[in-house]
Amino acid sequence: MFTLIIREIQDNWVFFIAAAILACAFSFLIGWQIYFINGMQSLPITILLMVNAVCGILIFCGLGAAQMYWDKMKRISALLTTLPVTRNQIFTARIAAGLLAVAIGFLPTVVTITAVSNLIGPSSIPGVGLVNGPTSEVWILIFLLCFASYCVGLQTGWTSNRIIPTLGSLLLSMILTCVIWIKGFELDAYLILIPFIACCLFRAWRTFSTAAL
Amino acid sequence: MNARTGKFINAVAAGFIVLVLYLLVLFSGRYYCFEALMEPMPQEWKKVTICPSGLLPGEGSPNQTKDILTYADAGISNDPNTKLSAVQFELNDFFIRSEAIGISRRYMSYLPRRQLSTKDGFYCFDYGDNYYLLFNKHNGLFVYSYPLYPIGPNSFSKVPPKTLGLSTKTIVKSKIYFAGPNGVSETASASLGRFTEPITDKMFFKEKLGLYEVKQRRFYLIDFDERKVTAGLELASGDKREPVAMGEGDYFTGPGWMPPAAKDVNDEWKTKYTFLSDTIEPNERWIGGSFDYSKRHITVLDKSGQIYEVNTVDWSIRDVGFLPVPRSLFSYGQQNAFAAPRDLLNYQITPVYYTLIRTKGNRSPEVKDVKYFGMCTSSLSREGTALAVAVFDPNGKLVCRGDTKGDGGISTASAVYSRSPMARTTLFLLENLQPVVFEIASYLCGDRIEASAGHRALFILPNSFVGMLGRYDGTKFDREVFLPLLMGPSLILSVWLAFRVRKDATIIGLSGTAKKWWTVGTIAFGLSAYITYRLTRPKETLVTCQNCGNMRRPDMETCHRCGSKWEIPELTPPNWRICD
Repeated sequence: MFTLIIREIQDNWVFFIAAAILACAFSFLIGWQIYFINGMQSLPITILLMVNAVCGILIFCGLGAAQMYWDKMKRISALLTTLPVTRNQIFTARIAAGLLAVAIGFLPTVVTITAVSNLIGPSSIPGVGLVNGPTSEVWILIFLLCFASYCVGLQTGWTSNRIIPTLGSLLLSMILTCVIWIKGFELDAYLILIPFIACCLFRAWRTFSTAAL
Repeated sequence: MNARTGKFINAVAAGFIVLVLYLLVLFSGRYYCFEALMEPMPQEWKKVTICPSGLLPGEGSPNQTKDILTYADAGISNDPNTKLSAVQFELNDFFIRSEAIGISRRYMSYLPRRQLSTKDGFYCFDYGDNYYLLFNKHNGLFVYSYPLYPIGPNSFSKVPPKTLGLSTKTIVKSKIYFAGPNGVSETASASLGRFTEPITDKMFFKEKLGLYEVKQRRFYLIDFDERKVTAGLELASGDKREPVAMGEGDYFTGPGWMPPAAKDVNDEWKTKYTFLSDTIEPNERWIGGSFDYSKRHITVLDKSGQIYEVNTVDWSIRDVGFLPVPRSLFSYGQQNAFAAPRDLLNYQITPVYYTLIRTKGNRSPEVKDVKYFGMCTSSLSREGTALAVAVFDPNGKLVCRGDTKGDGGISTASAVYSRSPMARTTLFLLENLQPVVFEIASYLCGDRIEASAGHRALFILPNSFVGMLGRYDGTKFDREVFLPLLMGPSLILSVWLAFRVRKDATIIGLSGTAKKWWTVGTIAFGLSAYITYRLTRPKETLVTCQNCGNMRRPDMETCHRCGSKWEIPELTPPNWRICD
């Protein structure tokens, strides 16, 4: 299994590097903004977080689409199944690599913002009150959204057409971000995203496990 | 998992993915249509002004007007420099937009008077510098903390040094009190007992906090200054009252009460209580509001929309008003009916009381009298298109009601849809793209969804035309006549798509059961089911059947049209011959 995960990372190293660069760049920018400029209250932090989330979503859905697309085009799984490896193992390794990419692109920002906001404490906005840094329910929901984008990529990637995995996954991921816009960080958003991820994973697994390699 | 189960789960999973993405797109479309309807609403439509308010003596009967009147306009005197008291509420479209978007609601929760809930409880207020009052749900205690500022070598003040004109800003320590049903203490001990589900007054003055404990159905008054908790009125088990909120509510529809005013020498309007000044002495004056009164009387809002006042001295309770029912597209807003808070997007309760204070030299003013004049309330409709205002006398009797009105005096709830026919039509068509099953659910149970959540709803739409029809005041017959008209396009589309699905399913050879399920599913879920069908239908290339000539599935043993096998039996030559 570990070898399969390593192989997935090697095949899609561009996305992992992009996720790492994104995480480092935005962690630095947001941390610097919070610590040295205006605390949690400044508008640039919100904008930076949103740009970070959008870039992250693009990378993750791109990764999902690339994994499935190149597997189909290069017949990677056809080769792997000649070895003592099952399709389920290949699929599990693929998802594990995807989760790792999401974690790489996501966790440094969480750690940085949490650490810096703990360091400076909540910010007081005149006439509004205290504003703390993003709380756990915000982070969990953003993580779910990023992973859901990756799953959308898995859905759209299994095709021999180049346009559908590229533009289709981007479009669907952008539509999916509306969940947070509409529902906010409340329970409703979890009730939509968690079944959505489960359905996407099931469909991706079924497509992959029943397809002719 | 066998093939049939796998296919079924696959179709359901694909259906859910398509449904979510489809409904997100529809929501965005509906949101922009709603924006387009609300945007051109003229400012004068949004205001309800009742002037004179009818609450102060000598000003005459209350009446809904467009402007706030002067004494000269009202014919009370010839003085154009004195304004009458008024009750004014405004439909705040910024607030409505914020409620419709979940992410902005989160930031709205930081605003004052909104209790900020956290996983550990909720804050009644938090002003920074360790000055806060919160309810900690883990130990069931209220925690009141305030900072102590050094003002001398051994003296401290609760007042910030800046206010006292001192330079130091160092906070030496914080004073913390814990309060439970059994008392107030400086330590969080178990002997204080615990509150389980308190509803609190948002007014915190002189270290007193009024609250209602839902589980025990009892009112309490916490006095942090005297370090005591008074257990007050307990609602009997047969009592139908169910308090859901305390205090005045949000102020997004305000200002509410506007006291009478007079122009000063600089031509600026200043508050002046002309008709209250008859009996007072030169060193006395009336001032608007009274924290003292508000601590002795807690305004409580019931689940039904009834408002009552609880006296924290003798723990008596009396009805003082209610939230009026606002109009909607299919509802006329009955005069004396109560609107439940969960059916309103927002409400505001403003009690009107005045305090007569006496000043003696440099001593702090002494309260001589407090008068309660009545109450004004406002209700913002579920859809956010209409506002209703009610004014009550001190006995809780409705004396005047006003509504937001558009051109020709019709309610804004109807008028808003006439401003932009394009947006209205698009909104109607988009609502008809919603799956039929959700439209029916919106009609039947849309009103069970809380008003604010209804604006962010993806599946069941209580604010759609069909949802509004479900809350129609008229007869059941009228409703059932209108329903097919409003749902017509949706039903026609669903049936047409179901027909196409059935036809295609026959061509590609789905089983009878599968065809039945897809037909029913497409009628219920409309376009989203059709998209799902197109995504999940078998993709085999069909071949021509040698027996019937129709297209048949190459992966099936027999032709699904004529039932023949792959090997066509040799034709048996007839026994007869044609002879010349």
